[in-house]
Amino acid sequence: MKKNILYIILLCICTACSSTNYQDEPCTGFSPVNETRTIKIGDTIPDFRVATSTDKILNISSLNKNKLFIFFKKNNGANIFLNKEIPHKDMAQAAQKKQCDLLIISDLKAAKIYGVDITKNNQIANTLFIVSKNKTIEKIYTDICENEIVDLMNNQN
Amino acid sequence: MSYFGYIEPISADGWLRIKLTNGLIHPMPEYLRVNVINSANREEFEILEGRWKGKKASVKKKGFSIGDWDGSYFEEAVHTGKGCPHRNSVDMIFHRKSEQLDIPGIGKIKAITDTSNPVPLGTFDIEIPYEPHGLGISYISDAKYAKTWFRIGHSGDRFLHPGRVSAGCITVTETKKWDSIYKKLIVARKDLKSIGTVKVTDT
Repeated sequence: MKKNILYIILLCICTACSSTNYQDEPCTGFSPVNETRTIKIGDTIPDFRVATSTDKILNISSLNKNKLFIFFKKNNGANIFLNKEIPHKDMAQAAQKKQCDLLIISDLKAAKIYGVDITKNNQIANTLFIVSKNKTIEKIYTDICENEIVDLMNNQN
Repeated sequence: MSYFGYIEPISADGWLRIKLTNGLIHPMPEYLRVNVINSANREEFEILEGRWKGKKASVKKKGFSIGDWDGSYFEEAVHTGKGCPHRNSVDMIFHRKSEQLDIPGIGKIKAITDTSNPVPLGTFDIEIPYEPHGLGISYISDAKYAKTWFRIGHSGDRFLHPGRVSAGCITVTETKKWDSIYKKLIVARKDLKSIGTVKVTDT
């Protein structure tokens, strides 16, 4: 009995230690914008190659579901998450349910390519790009949080 | 009396902030070879290699500390006890298709390039770093030297650097290994401009 309890405790600790330190963004009300510093609605998204958190390597142009959501997020360390890899369960489930691709990036280089605002202390301003199947930017939102992204995904037709 | 020396290892991030004679403050990489001209409270020196070769600059000495009797940021080879800290050129191979970088003395490392704008085939010099790259700060939790990127060739904006996004560079995705890669490359020398080479193949 004692052995089983010890095993369960150990399992819980291991699970807790192995989980990613994912921090949700505060929801302060998002803003739709027509453009960033480098791209605007109607443009084709710039392409680049990524290695996700599970070392899946792909060009973002290869993501070909009906909609692609690219979320540039601060406070995420060196992680890039794609679909099922996303620690935020509601986001991952919404993407799966709506058959969208959802990519979360905190890389400054990628943020610069997309013209996302970067603060003086090198923090990315949370920005979401909604992209059509033909890789055209449909919508851009700044100051957006995870729950708002879930709502946007759930409201997709 | 002048002497030849090297910027000693800089513990924070590998960069020493110096003042050029035009007043501009600029970071210089550790292990850069210099000629120290005057060693008063402010040390004056001439840069002997890299992009800033031939430029004169100065840096204020460090405050007193036990174990660092002269407060200088420069080490003569004789003081290192090991002779010149520079090592032989590092000649790497990047396999574009298998997404692997072979580094002698380190082994095979996962690295990617953007398939829509790949680093071109051929053999290129890898340049002595000339400034830190702020974009590397995304990975500072994985690698203390993540801001030190090595340019591929002597012009353009393709670099060998750590990260998980590539838009045409050689991007080392095993970011936790970057510090050991950096330590190998930063002391290597092919000539006064380069630390070594990379051969880009289509295998």
